[in-house]
Amino acid sequence: MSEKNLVSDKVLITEIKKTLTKIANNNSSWTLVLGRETLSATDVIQRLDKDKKLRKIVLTHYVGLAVEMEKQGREKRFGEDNT
Amino acid sequence: MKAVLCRPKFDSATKYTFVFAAEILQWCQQAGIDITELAEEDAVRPAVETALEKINPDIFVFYGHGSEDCLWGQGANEAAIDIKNCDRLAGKEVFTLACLSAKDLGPEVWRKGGTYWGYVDVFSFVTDALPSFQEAGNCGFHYRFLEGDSRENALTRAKETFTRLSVELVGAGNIFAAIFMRENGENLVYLDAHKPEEKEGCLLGLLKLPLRLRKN
Repeated sequence: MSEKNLVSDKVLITEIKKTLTKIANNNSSWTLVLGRETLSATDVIQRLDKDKKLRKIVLTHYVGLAVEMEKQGREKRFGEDNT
Repeated sequence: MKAVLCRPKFDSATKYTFVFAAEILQWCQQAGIDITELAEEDAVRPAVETALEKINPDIFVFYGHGSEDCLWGQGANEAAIDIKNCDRLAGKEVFTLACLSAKDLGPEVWRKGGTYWGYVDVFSFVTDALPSFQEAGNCGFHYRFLEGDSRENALTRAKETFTRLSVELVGAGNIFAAIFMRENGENLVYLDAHKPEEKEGCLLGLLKLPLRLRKN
């Protein structure tokens, strides 16, 4: 992974953590059920630093969702993409 | 049509999956599917084995914890279904909402002539979007067994449902629910034992091979 990508990941994780901090401050009962584990928003913030698998899932789908929304927006504007 | 629903409840995760499964129970009762429920203390290996033998259901449904090679019974002390007793699911449609079990257990059931709806990795959800995760987890059952859609279509439609819900969750400002909704959708598989084109294809392909290659 290039240095540029690493920086981008850092920026994304920072933004995601900001959302989690808001969640932690506004909804104390919020829980991520991760298989057998149950994590609070604060737990997830800490886990994002050390759990590479969780970090990868979050980053992959964060970007994937942005692409999906861009695709849907484009189709809405220009019609279905047949190429 | 007969079904057996196994739904343990003993920790925070199964507290939620137990509720998700209640909708399956309700749908079956409304649709006239003869469903037997094995809940909480009854969701254990001996009771599951007895039910599979005596009732001989067309569908086996499981909502709870799973590992690569098993579905855990009440308390997770003993597997309700694992590689050793999964021959009891031969010829049956298996529908699960559990972590990981489609990795090894699913293919074993498939090899024994059953079909397997499940997840190849951890199934995750967040508690501020429970109705969406229930919809995603249950929709395949509706497509396949209530609407009678083909296995292929049921899987395609379910994956589309996961995608739709994840985009809706982003729109609702719930990025974390969206992320795990998308992850679950990617981990969903439907191992189909009754896809004649695949089986025929393999056998025909083998017969068409040059004799020299077949001997090797």
